[in-house]
Amino acid sequence: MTTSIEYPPAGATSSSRPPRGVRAAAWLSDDVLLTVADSEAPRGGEGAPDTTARFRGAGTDWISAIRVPSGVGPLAGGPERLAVANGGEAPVLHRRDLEGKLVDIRAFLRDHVASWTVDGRGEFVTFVASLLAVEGASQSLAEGAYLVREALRERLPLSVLDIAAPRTLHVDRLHRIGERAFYVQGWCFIRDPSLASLTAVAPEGSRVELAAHAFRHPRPDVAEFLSLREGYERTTPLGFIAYFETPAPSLRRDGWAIELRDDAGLGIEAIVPPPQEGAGPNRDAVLADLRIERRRNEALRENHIRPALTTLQEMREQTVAIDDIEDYGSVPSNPPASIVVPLYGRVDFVEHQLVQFVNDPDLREAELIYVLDSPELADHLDSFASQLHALYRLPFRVVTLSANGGFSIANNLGASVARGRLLLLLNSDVIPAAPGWLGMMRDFYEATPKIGALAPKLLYEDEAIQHAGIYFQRPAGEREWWNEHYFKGMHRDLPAANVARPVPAVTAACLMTDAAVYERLGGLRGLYVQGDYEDSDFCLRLREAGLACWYMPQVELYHLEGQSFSSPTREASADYNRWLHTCLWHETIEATMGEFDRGADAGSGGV
Amino acid sequence: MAKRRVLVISHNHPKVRPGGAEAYAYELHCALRDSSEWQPTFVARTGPPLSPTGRPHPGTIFSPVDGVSGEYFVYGDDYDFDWLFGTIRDSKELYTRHFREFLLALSPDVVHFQHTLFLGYDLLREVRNTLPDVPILYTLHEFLPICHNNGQMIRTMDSEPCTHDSPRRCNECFPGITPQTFFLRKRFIQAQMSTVDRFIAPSALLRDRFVEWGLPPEKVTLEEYGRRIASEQPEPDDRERRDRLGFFGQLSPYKGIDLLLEAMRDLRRDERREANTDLATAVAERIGRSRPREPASSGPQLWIHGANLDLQEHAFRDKFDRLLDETRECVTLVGPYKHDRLSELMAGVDWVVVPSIWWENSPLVIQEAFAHGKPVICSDIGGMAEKVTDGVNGLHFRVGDALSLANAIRRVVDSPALWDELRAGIPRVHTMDDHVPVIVGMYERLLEERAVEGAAAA
Repeated sequence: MTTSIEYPPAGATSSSRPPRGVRAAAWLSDDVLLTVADSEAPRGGEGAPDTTARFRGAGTDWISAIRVPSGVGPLAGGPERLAVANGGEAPVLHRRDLEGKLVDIRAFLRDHVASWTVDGRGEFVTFVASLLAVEGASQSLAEGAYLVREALRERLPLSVLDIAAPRTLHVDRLHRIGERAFYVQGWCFIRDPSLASLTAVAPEGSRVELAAHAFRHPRPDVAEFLSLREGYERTTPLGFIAYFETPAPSLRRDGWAIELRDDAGLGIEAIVPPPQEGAGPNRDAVLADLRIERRRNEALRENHIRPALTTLQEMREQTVAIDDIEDYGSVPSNPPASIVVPLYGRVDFVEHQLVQFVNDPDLREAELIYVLDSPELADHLDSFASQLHALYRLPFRVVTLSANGGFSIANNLGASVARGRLLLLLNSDVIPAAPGWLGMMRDFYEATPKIGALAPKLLYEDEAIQHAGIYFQRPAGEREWWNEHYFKGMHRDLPAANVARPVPAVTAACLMTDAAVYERLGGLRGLYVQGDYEDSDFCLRLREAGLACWYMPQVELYHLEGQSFSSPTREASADYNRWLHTCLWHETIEATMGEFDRGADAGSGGV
Repeated sequence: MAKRRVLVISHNHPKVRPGGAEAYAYELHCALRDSSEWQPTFVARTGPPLSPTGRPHPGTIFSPVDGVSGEYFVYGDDYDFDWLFGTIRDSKELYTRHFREFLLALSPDVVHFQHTLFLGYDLLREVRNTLPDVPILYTLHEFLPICHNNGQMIRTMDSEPCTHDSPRRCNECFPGITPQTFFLRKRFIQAQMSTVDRFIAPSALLRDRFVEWGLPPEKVTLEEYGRRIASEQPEPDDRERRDRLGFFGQLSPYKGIDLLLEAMRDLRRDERREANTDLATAVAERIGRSRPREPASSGPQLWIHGANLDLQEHAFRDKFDRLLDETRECVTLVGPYKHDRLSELMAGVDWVVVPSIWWENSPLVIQEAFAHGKPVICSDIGGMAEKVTDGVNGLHFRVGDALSLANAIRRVVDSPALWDELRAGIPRVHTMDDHVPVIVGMYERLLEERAVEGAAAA
């Protein structure tokens, strides 16, 4: 028996005629109807694109999955016509065609599918799972697909945690990275090590093969539990980690399973805990796995952690948007410069900036935009902001994001509403030393040809230099490039630090650039985790575009970088960011540092 | 010609709680009230923690003081006030709504701040916003803008006097507050204070410290407190011994009252060792308000006049009670006193002791002592050492050192002639009649300057 799954080709104008000779039908979900019909499956023809997917079953049976428009589904009193095609003069499937043939989905499966072979049933489950990709993923369709899977799936014996068992399998955690992207961590053991397949099975039926691609690592705790001989894991590590993507979206939380088969075809399965949601915690969990890989073995990082983090960031970029923009006072409508200040976790810095800005005429001309990246503080900031405006009488805008987006997204969204020709990215914990700083930066920027980014001298609260330009350095024997600040810790008056000059890169804590250039380059990239390296990444892209980065010491501001305590997550992020940055840029960095070391303005530290 | 209006702003009304700065502020107000050219209004904050006075009428936070015209309470809740930054953090309505209306209604020509404690430095900005052309003056009374340790500039770990601030040093005193936060505090306070046209420092110490901290020197003027006391000293009484000591001030550790009690205790111990006769029978009552002025024993006697023991911490109150108990033969706790009884109380002592462990600005009690012809024994630092010259009109002892203080007391008791010598060296007290013209002169000069600027701009 051949089974085949047929979909109309993309943009098809194939038959919009309903299947003739429908013998039975059942609602798979609120908007998808399954029918079984005779051999003459209609194909070809004119009309609007078909919304039917077909599956060739046993004998001459064709099973069709028909998408019906909303409002006509099983719960709807609805019109008589179950239009098959969208709009136009599409032929329709009438309710009367289904009279007497509509059955419960379980009965449908039992009567028309259950008798197929194991393989056939398996393929049908996959077919139904794939509907979530084709027909659109709704919760109702996910439930329907789950039901189908449960009814038809071949179950394997459940894995038992017993040291005598010939095979054991366990999943510690599963993370949802996106609608189709997941990250799993667990371990498996086969006494005769002949692993044939390790398959993740989504609740809706999608199957993904992991064995070849998963990252294997030792689990000494499990080895001890199973009383394995010393050195066993050197050849066959028990643990596995895998980032994988399902062919169709999976929405349902409960119902994940994982299957293990050996060469003999014998297999077990294990229940997988429901996927952990939450971009933040998932990101932290994925990052924490960096400690598992051995030095210089980058397979885990490259094949699993990086795609997971990249997908997480892409999801974030798609979902985080501007929720609200509020103006306090009349903000200049055609300002020479716009200042974008992301706020995260605390908003008291706003007052500390305003109390300094209020004495500065340059700031009255500028457009001051605060971007609230902690939406839970929205109400508080709203009342606080109007009070501040009443007291300081400086106009500013507050852009509230729909969710926490992170440093790059916050800056990019702020920039997207900025009206100034020049854009200044400013951290909330940066306080000017004296008025007039913005005008001086503007003058310098406009007077310097081929300038991409400009940053001033930034100081710690004890007059030590925090930033005087960024350069790249690679410790002897290491592959990764580190970002360093010239003259960090030296007194602000150090002569070598008081020379305006081009530098390899500058900090985004106070960075002036042309707004159009920023937009053209796509702003800051969110590939990096938790802030760090976005600025040098941006500067390197500017260099690629033929623009330079400049440092100007004539302007000084204080950057009150808090003593944030080093946590494992922070260290892991820094580690990952540095690696990724080097992956993406090592050639350019080498060339750049070559130029700077040869040139007169090397100045990396000692004078 | 219509009188010009000046608004005097204080953090407390002396009718509610006694205190030096507020006493002076109110005296100034009263003196201005008597002038023919100026009409002053006095605004004092009320509410916790200094007073139980409740909220006034709904919809307003202002109310006249005991029905008097020209004196107002402004009510504030304690919990809103951020001690570290000296501001009301989350709600600026006090300034932008309540005070603004008050300022517009009053329409003063000059605003003279005595304090911003419990009110907030933001009030300076609101005054500037609402009355852009009105000169703002600010009298400095202690180091609150500089120092988070109650404005005393002594270190928290050992009570040693501190000479300069830095984010790092302040963090050493308050490990729970980061250096960055102290940096922000300073920038915030200085930014608000940049709206002030003239600062008045009653001591050179304060002037110098604040200029070093960052106030523009041309804006800071030295001008001693003016006092409403007779400029002529009373005639001294005739006595053989000059061994009666008086302490007048708050019963707080900063004022060194425990130090003084320790010195008295040590002196008593020494004396008892020397003497071989019984002590006199009657001992002055501990809390007697009428007590014998003739000492029961042969050693020095101390009378403590002061209040606010209840505001201090437990440990200090216990220590105070214990020391008082140990010195009951030579020390009498008189308790709080009214200002109009001061002359009478001063008449009963020979020396006034000012043993503060902090720098002090210009202690009012020194001026009062001098006004009554009493030489002063005080610590050898800060405003005390500035106003009292060792060997001329008083004696210094080493700050914080009970033994040094005991030696100074012993010395004055053993040499009665010293008293006459030092009394002769007492300078003339700066009275309100001397002081008001200087203050008013500042108001007028600032108004003139603004008029000139206005004309130039036109």
